[in-house]
Amino acid sequence: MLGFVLKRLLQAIPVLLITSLLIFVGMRLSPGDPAAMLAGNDASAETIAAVRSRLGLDQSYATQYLKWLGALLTGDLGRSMVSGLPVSRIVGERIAPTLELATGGLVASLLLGGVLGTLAGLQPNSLLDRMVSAVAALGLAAPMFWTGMLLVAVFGVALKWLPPAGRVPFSQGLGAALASLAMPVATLAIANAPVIMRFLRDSIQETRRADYVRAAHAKGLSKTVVARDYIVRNSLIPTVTAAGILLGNLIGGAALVEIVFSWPGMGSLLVSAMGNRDYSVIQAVLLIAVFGFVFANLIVDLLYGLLNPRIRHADQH
Amino acid sequence: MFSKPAIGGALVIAALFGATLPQAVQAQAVQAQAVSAQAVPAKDAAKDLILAQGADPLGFNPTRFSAPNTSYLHQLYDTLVEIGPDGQPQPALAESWERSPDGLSVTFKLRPAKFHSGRPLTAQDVVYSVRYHLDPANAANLLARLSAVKGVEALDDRTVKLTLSSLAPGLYDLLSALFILDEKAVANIAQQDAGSGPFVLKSWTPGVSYTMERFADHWSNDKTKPDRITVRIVPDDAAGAALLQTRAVDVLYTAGPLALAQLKDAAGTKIERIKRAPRTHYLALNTSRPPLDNKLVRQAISHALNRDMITSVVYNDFASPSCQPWAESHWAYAPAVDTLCGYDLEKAKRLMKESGVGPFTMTVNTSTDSYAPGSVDTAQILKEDLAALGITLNIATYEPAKARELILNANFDMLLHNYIEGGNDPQFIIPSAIYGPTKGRTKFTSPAFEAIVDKAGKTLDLNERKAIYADISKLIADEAFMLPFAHEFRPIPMADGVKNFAMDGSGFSLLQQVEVAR
Repeated sequence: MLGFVLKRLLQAIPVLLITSLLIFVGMRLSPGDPAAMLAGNDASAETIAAVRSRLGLDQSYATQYLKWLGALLTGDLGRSMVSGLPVSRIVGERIAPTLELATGGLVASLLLGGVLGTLAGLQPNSLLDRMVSAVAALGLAAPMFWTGMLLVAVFGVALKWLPPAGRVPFSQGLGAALASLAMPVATLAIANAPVIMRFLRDSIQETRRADYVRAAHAKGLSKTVVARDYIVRNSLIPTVTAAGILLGNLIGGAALVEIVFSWPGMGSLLVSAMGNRDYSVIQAVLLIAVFGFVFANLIVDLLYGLLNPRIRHADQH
Repeated sequence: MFSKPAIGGALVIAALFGATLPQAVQAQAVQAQAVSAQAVPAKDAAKDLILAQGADPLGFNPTRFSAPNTSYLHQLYDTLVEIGPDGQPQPALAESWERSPDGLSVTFKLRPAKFHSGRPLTAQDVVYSVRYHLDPANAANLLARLSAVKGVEALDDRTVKLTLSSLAPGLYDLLSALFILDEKAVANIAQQDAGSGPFVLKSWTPGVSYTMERFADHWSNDKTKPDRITVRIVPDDAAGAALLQTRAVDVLYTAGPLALAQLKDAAGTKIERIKRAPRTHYLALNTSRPPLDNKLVRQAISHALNRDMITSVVYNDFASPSCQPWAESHWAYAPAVDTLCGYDLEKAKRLMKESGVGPFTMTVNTSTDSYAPGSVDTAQILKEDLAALGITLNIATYEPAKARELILNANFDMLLHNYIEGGNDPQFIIPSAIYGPTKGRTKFTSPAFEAIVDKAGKTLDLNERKAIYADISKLIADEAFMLPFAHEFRPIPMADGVKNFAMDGSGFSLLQQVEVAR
């Protein structure tokens, strides 16, 4: 298994290299000049050129890329072109809130989607199944910003049960931290749980028709045992795939949710850095997001082995 | 059998993550130490003032006037003079000054003052600060307007002399935006202020908030009302409104249309209109692109621009219609000029006919609300009216970075944009790239315009200047290359108990005397 992990990590290196090049080129080709933005509305061409030179943007793309890559390999993410702060500090301060939100969103989505998907899958075409499908369709259709605003209006402003925006770190008190996390996580869960639910429901319904499930019933095993050991467990693999994609997305930053709730994570950082054309920050955030996807895929592959002994054994052979 | 390798794999991943981002991880450790700063600030202190604004400051360099920086400029930094509500200069760091008989030099006497670092502020620091602004490498946003400053020298520790190449009638307005820097602290200006203002920066957590505390050694400390000012970063308009409604913040410093609509009748809140720093919305016509080189066509467009409707529909009556560069409250405002640009489609059609220009197609550049509020909606109204003149208007909407690039390169047929310096001396905007007269983005030039702008720069007599600027306004309305159409009085939502919130002529907040009743 260790060999498998190492192999996957080695495979990630070219992915990250190619991605870094794409990110770099993409930024340089996008409209907007960071030097002009910094110099202000009335800046002369000379002033803009001086700023461009100070930022190193007057060098060839190849030189800029190689310098950035070289620094990256030594762990130096550079400095923000706009504020001058080290990018490692800016990004570092956003990682914990994003991981907090991603973990909360994933757990809540899995719990909600898992429970509803299982119930709906085990009772196809029942009233419960129809109700769950309807609720799921609503959750999928509702834009996240709208759900977030609705929650803020009800629980933040009208009822005053929860803070309307902002993040309280766990070190400042568990209750306050959970209260600040509740609505952003709920917004993510309402949007993402239906995906998990639909995957799981369909997968369970398909597994229920499998020969080995019929054989288990024929052997006289109880419905609970068949459902738990034969149906649900074998239905989890597609769900794990969906969860992996979801985790990757969340690590990349649930930008809309972060903005609606003033959550200081990577997504909102990316949006503001894009607005300012802060190349160094954008490049760092995107690269970390790509790493997040690679990492999530690796976790998914490991979970496949845990859930399905055949995959585990095939890997060992 | 499976679990151990899985754990090992997880450890390897963790190690790789750590190796890839060692600085990020270190930063998290630093964050853990400074965690108290990251908390949403407690609001229990009686003299706390809490603002919400949409974006992080771009560091603490006071030579950058980007909108998110305007909440700290006058709080963390001092200037030589301040401009009073009457538009006249008042003492600040300079307790007195004297202009030479020829008007080409001004000698300032400094009051005793200290930087936040504890170092005494001297005339040498003023010299350093002026030179810092003049160095193109520092890209000070004021640089383009400092062309009249020929030299600066310290005569002694408390006396500084500024030499000018022309009379520079707007000099004091310029100096009210030229913030004095502590040379010894400038190296760290990205994350710590280098000023001497009434407040000192205590903490900053990007994306969350920054906090300023009263500077006990400030020369005007007895005037300072808040003990602490916290600026929370709240990117979403509706979230900002919700925070104000629940009184988690006292002032919503950046309020978009959504927040204004939400707060219009909200209990416990009010919306103040700051008249001193209007945002002037304009339609610029690129006179180098035919048929906009035809004065009659431009005049026709001016009369087809429905200023009253735009003011009412787009800016919700938070603005006043106008066709001159400054608002009614400004000393240079000339009432007669506003009668020259009334909405009159019949007259516009006649002018088009006179011009001999047939139907044509043009594009108007607009931008998103964060950069050019209301420009898209204004363009829609304009499109309907121009269609009656045979002008087909295409509307192009750009995000801020691209929009700015096109503006700087004067790459547009028509442009809907705005400026916020209209509360300052007219010298702030007329000779600039906004209006010309020689390097303006509309490419409009005329000997008469150049001559009259030149004349305006050669007198300090206020009455004479009023007459000259009335003529300039009239010329701008007549030539119709720049069509100012609305002065929007910036709406600032705040809690009922907030008093004395103010801004200077450039739209920089003045928070020193704000009082908050809980």
